[in-house]
Amino acid sequence: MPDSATGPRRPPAPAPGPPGRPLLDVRDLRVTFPAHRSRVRPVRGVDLTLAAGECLAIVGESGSGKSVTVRSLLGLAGPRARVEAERMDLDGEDLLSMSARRLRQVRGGSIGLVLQDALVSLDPLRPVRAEIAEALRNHRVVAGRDVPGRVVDLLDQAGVPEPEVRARQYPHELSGGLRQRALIAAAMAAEPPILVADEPTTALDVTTQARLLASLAGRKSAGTALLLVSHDLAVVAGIADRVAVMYQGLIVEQGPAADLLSTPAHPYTRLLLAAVPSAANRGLPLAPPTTAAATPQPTGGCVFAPRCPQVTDRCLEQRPTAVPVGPGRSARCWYAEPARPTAPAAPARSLPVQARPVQATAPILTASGLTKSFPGPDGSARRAVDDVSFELRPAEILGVVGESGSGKTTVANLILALLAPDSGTVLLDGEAWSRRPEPQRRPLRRRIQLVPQDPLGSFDPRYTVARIVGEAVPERGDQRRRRVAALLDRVGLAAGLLDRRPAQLSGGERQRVAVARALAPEPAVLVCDEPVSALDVSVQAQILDLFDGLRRDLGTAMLFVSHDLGVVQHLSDRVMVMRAGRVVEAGDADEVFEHPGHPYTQDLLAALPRLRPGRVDLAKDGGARRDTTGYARTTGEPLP
Amino acid sequence: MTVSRRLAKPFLRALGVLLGAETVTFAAYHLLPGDPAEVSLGVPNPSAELVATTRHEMGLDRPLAVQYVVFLGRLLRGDLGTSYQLHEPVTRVLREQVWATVTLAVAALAIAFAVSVPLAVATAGRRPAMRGLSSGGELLLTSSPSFWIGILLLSLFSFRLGWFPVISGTSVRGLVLPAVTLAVSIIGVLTQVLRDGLERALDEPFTVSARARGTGETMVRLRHGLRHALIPLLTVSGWILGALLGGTVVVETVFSRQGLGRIAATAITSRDLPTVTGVVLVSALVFCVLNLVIDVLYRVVDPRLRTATA
Repeated sequence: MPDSATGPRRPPAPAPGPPGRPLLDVRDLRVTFPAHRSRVRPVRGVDLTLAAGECLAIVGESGSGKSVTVRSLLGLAGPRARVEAERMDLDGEDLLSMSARRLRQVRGGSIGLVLQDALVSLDPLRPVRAEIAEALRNHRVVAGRDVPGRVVDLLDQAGVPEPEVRARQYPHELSGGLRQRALIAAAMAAEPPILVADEPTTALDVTTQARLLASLAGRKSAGTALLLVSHDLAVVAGIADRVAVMYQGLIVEQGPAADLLSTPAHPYTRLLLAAVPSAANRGLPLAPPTTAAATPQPTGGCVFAPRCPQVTDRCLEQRPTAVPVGPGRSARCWYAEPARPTAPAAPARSLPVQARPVQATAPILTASGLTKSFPGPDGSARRAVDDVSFELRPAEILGVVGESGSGKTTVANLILALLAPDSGTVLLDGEAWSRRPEPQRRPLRRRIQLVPQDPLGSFDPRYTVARIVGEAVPERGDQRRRRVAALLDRVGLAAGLLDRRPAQLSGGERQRVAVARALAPEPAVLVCDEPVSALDVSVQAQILDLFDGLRRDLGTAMLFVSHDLGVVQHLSDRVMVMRAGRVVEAGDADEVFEHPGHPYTQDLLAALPRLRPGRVDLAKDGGARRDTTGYARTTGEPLP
Repeated sequence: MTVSRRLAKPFLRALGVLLGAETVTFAAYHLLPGDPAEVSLGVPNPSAELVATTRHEMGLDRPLAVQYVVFLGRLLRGDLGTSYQLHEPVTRVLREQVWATVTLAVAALAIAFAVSVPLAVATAGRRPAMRGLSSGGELLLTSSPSFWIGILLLSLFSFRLGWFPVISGTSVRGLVLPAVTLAVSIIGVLTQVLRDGLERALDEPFTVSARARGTGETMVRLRHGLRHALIPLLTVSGWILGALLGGTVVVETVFSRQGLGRIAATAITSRDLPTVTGVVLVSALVFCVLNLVIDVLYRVVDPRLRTATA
């Protein structure tokens, strides 16, 4: 472990204490919020330690309490939060009994916080230099006249090109990656020994994500202690020294990253690992069949029991305590045992990869030479889509991958005939689709349906689920309600949801309702525009399973647009890699991902986070590459 | 797009608004019963002959379309005509009255701001008791009619305590009570809008970032929250100022002040077309200019709007 004095630019790093004592030491952290007639308990007893130069990753799905945990370290869990702990020490000093004044020194001075999605985490009305300068002035890092110069230095250190120009720009003028870097620069301005990053890469493209993770790794090796929060095990695999898996306010498993990822001991960790889509588990379900919605357990038993595939009576009655399962490892499970993950449960439903469309069938959808330009900010035309052609056959899933701005969504809108192409045509069932007047097209629109990225935005918030889906159903009255219930059943939702409104649904339920609505008119083609990118890995796994099932059972063809290569690789039969409006590579999914021909595809693949931490291979096999988990995302190796 | 073209568009739009407002005034005037010539004469029971002569002199015997064109032509030359009632050029009447109105409106808005901003910053999203008290008070003030507040203030501060003159006149001391009366009715709306905007801004993730940098609560509110809350505040204050400048008849009457509101009220009851036309023109112009100013201010406050329209 590199020691904290390596960085020549780091003047008196707040003394990292006597060796052996962690910078951060938290015992039995509990956070409660008062709620209607009861209390919400997002964190119910978390133990954490973090030393200089170390990276601890907290992984869990949304609602697991991971964000509340890290925010409560800075006293930012919210004005109504009640934070209690047996011990919450920052370098020997109690965080809970700190004065407001001292706490403000700690914020930014001792612990830097980087939030998800810098577009909303940076003040949109102020240039980024104002945000960084604020941190410098709050902590009196440099004399007032040196602030502008230091701001530029900090941006430069955070890897922002042309820092003088960028400093004057506003958040909306910067790309997602640069915004995130600016936010890191602001959080690191006073050189805190601890950096807390809450989902720092979730809104980013793979390549940007890879660069950002590398830059965080650089901070770590310069001695900064890193507390990383993510819902995706693959993202943290490459950088974390230790991983803590959180579920419903408890750390269910904790241990060195390499061990935990290769031989998970808790069933939830296994479930998370299995949920990561890849070519290796194509055609196999990613998530176990959901029996019950994850409801909090009010009494005794294990918090994970309602979703656990190995649940026993004991789990329902007694809450397990954290038991050691190896050197530096612990897990909260009565049956915890480090084991190599096996294929997820319930293989009965799955038919392996054979369910491929027959190439001989006629295509449903044919796009040829599609081109579309939009006027740019200076009035000149900018080509969003440039000469894109493809065919889609029944029961086929065509993946469209590319970074943001590559023209993927424009292609989707051209296929939906929501935009008219400048040139080129789209044929549906061999007949004109794009080039025909809207009144003629309208009766055919039911043939192509859309599954949007943000279903919440596509629902009328005042409508009930029954009405949202019912709108797309031709039947009336009772028959309509029965049909809607049948559609909900098809997407794995209980009829009890019929009278809920969108705000009362979870992210996964919303996306299922969106799919049910798209299926209502019995379409031949589904256009899915980033349908899982706003979801947690475990929920994403369920939705991907749903798409795979629909294709298999109903023969629906799909145009699947995503920036996530793992997802596309898992689901697609063929892929199309787009860059700057052009298709740079297209073909059979296995072929493209195993032998990428275009350098851009190679770059994208290289940037993909891998579940196998490289150091595992080195440690165990002296440098020889070995498949340690069987869940590598990038190559199509079969499961061990 | 060149600068001149960008300026031309709002200018043409303002011109359209002015034309529309004047056309409606002209139409309303001619649709209403009664004869302007008789009003203009100002003598009881004038002879039919006299009325006919006056009608001819005023051009009222010509076809409506011709009258309309003549009316617009005069407007274009800046000739607003002579008030039928005061027998003075309308431009002079307006010039004399507009100052009183502008002083009153600006003073009222300034007082309202001075109260609303600290109140909203202090109570937004914290101090539940004080917030509830303030919010209840705002509702009470907004729903109290201004003539009643005016009379209350007058009887207390002028009749009983004698601190301020009963008849306002043009003195600074005379400005206080009418301005406070107007401000009282605005404070409620301004504070509500501002607090709502502040609370929304303080709920945004960037305020968590700011706090995580060690920024204190007051600075988070002033530096980050207030600016976001300014956008809805601008919209409302633009509208309020416009309405105030158009004349505040009730307050001007209660405090016996001069001003556009009283001129307009008397002009309308006495069918004094030139004066009504002039007041409408000033009001419409004020609204157009305020709209432009607020559009510019939006862009000063919110950089995202600068690039969106550039």
